[in-house]
Amino acid sequence: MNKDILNLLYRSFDVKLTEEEKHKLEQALQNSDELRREKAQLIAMRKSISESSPKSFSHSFSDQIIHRLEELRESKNDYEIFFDALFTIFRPVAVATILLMITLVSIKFIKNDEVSLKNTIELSEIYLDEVFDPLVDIVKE
Amino acid sequence: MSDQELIARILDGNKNAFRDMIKRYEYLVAATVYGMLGKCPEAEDVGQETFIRFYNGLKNFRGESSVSSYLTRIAINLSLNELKRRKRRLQVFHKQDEAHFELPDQHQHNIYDGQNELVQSALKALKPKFRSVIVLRLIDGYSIQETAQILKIPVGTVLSRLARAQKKLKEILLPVIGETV
Repeated sequence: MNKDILNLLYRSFDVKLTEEEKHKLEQALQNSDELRREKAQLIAMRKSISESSPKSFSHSFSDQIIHRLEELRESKNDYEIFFDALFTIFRPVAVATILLMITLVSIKFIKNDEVSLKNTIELSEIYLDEVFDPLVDIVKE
Repeated sequence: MSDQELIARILDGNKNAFRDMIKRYEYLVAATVYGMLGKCPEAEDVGQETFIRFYNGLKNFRGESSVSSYLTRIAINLSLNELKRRKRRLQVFHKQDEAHFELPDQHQHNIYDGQNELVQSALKALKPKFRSVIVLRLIDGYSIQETAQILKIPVGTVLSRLARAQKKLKEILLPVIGETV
């Protein structure tokens, strides 16, 4: 069987063919028993498939869903509410902290004309050597 | 009552409105999930999960797509997840490959409607990406464009997968139930 015609036959079930394609397919159908049989089989198969799947669940399907939703709501009361609240307050706290840091840095910059950790939070800068070996300072002194 | 009115009531906390919504679309979710997974105990769980996800996402539902295609998309995605889980389980226990076609045994055949059972078994022989196209187009009745939107793939891909899937199904079903299919 001609592969192009066969593809055209399959497409004819799902998309609108052009006039030229329709004419080509009709001609082929008129001239071929095999193609006509193929078409009949396809129609029957598509019908069987469309009717094959059950169209409902058990009788208590909707009740079970409502019940599960209620259970989910109850289980959310303890654990998740805490994290929801934490998540809700995280953003304003983070924004406030950033604003505070910017303000502090700006004030210190205006006062001392320098931006550094020491200036900003009144802490001396820590060097890597000191972190790994705190005695370095003592020995130096 | 329209879907939008029903959604407004659900958001107001009206349980019966949600129950009505479930009843309105149960057929669609059932057809999609059973089409994807076959008749199995997990199918109803996936159906329930579909409506729960829908309920939890309602606040963000802006009506850009219809309720039916929104629900179908959730059902398809959850079914694909279930198939992946199933495949992992099968790999762990070294059981037969998911894509392997097997006729239902005589006992099962008596329980369920014979022809539907055969079609469901044949559908299981398809890879999920082909099966989803068949389910949306032939079982749920979506157009090619809608199927493409739900699966987020091009229209051309839907058409080629549909053709390949039908050829495979025909190969499987014809020798088994003869010329009637």
